[in-house]
Amino acid sequence: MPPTLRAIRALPSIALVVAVLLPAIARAGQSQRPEPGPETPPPAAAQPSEPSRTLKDLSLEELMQVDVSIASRRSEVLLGTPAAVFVITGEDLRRSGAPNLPEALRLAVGLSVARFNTSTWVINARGFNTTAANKMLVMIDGRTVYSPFFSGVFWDVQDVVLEDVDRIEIIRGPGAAVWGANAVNGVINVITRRAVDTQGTIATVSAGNEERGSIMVRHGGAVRGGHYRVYGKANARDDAVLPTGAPAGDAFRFGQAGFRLELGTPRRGLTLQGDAYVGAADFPDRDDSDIGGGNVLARWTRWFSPTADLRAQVYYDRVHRRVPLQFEYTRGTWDADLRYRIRPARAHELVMGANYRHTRDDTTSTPVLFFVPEDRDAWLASVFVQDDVRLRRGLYVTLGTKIEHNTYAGLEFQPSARVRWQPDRAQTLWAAVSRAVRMPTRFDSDLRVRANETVMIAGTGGFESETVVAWEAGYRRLLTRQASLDVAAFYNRYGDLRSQEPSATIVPLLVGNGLLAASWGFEVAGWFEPRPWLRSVAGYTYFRSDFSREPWSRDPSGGRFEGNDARHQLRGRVSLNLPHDLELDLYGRYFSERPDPFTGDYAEADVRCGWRFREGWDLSIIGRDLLHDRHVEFVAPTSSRVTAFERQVRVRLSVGF
Amino acid sequence: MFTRPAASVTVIAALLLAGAAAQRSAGEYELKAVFLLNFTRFCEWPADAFDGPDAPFVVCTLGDNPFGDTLVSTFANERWNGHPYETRTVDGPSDARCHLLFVPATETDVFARDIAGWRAQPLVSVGEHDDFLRVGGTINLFVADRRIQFEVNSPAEPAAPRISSRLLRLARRVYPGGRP
Repeated sequence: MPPTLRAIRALPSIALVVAVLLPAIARAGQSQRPEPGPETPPPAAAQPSEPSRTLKDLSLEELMQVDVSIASRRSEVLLGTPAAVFVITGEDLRRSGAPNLPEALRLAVGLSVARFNTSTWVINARGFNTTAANKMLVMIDGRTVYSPFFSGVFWDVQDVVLEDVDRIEIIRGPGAAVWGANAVNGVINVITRRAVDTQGTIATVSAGNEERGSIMVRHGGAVRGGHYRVYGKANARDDAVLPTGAPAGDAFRFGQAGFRLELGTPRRGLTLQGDAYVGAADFPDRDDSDIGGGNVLARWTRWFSPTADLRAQVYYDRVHRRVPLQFEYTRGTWDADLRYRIRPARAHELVMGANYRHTRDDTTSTPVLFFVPEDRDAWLASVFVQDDVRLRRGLYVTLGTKIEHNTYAGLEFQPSARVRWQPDRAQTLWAAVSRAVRMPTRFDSDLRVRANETVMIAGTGGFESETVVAWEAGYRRLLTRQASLDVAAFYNRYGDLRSQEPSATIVPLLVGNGLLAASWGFEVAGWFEPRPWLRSVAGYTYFRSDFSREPWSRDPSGGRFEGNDARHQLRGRVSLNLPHDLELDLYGRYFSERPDPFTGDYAEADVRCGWRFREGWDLSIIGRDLLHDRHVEFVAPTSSRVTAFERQVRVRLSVGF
Repeated sequence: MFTRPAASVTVIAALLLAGAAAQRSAGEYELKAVFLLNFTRFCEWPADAFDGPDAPFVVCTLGDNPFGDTLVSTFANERWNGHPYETRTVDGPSDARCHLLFVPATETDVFARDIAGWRAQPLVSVGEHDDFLRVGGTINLFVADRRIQFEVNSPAEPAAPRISSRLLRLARRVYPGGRP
């Protein structure tokens, strides 16, 4: 084991000691704080705010401490969006107590997050959940993080400093016209704060029974002409269990460091950012896996006027993953992206862009998987244009298309048309029809799966893109200042889905495009904030799908390898602000059964108790998955292993200077 | 068997009731209207900005008014140095002589187009768009961590209203001597 990872293993004990000691130290330090001088405005807390005082009686300092009610703010941000969108804010993340990014995504209504083992998650909107779920476009600060290998996401290495996340936008449904390839069922867009907004130092330690230990330090400061932040973090995760309760032997260790630097002025700015990580997972029957990677990104923005701006971005991303006896590859990806926004006339807002991506991988044959050819270059080039047209007051049409060329399948058109009607400031009605594609990957085109020296599944090199035509409609309504409602419904038709066609000799099964599917459903989300100290959000998702095959196809799977989805999803969250700077957060979720392989329904609940004992300091006790000793979230047809997750308890301390 | 949940419910209920006074929230534009009122109190207009001692202090909204009735009710029965407030909706600098101008996010480029005309008035402009200060606005409101914050262009024109140092201290960012 590398020394870095050995150090990560020692984390739990270090973290626990620090977590226990620090609050005491902090309290001691607090009493020595100097009194505010006459130059500093009096803190708002100095005058207790009585409910009887109107806003007009508050000082400007006090006004700056008043929360904008959630329903009101949501409406401003989202009312004008002609798509099904859910936003997780930085505050939501803090209150959720989520230990990592995939767990944090559980907050999003309409997004199915299922944990498969200690370091694998299955995350998808609108169905098609598999361990190789491949129909979501996932981006972190403008960098595409789904793997060109299988169009899915290795969630174990998608780590960010959750404290630095500004928001996560989750768009359900195709977003291909603007976002690009792979945005078939949705887009997850993680946006971190600007360096100028993350100045100062934050340190977080946590220790628990499952998330054994984690430590994170981030520091932000100023340089000539700009701002920067640097961070480092590491965590160690205990293994999950088998349904019998025996250890699953899949413990996980991970460390990551990174930076962000912003230079220039708001009119012309340069952002540089990068991350590097290393990790390893245990296996019960073989050596540890070995994963690592890094990326560096430069983004240049030029602001010409409120009606025109330009963004140019280039990044390099390198990943390495070795799972003994199964899978090994190294990949380097270059991506260059240009985007120009202009409002040539009052009624038009045009966005256009171009993208080029080149990726090269280098695989190593294993007894289970290998690829033909072993190494491969692939490229992708695209241009897009979208026009948001105001037809008359409150009525808008958005037309756009992306034209994409890729190595595997040639030219693809991904058009979309959206219309939205805002009869007043409190409501939006929208509808859309769009086409999107999932590009072929190495897994579709070049894969060979081997068992006992015999190739069982083989790509033919002739795989076409999978397509979807999606019909959507939605309604958003601000009911009162304290409540709002968001409803979206969809009907999707998929073609050219991946199938397994028996060859002349039955095996190998050849990867083809023989499956068809239709899916339909709806999502409802509601926000309710009856009191400033009581906020809640609840959501329900209904999903159905129906697989069939082309007349020529002899695929025997019936689509069981392409999706295993729950029909009902229910979730709700209540956040309470209690006296003495205490916070209480309750979160519950329910997933109905998944059909094939059968996975029973389950309900789980999380509780977080937080104490903000000092501005920017936060001590919390987090219980996750509290209802059962252990529960199973996802069973894959491709794996005989079933992993269950135990009740988790964790203490977390975050301090800011 | 029944007592434990019952006890916890009681405890939680007690905590909730105690929590009621701890915090407050408000609608975004309800709050922004009060911010506008406060801004007028932290800025100083020259006497010649008014036609006479009883002439109104004119609060304008450009184009689409997002406030509903709250702007009128916030400024009703208030005075600035003896001048009664008057609220108006305008489409450009030629429509009225404004002292305070609110520019809704959607009107930012309309404001930018007429910036020369607006600069000729003794005006404090308040916007709510990332670009607002870049196009020459005075104060930009934004929401951070659910709270309303603002940034300020400290005006370079000698004829412009003077912004008090207290307001500048409360600003998240100040760009001295003109636009960022």
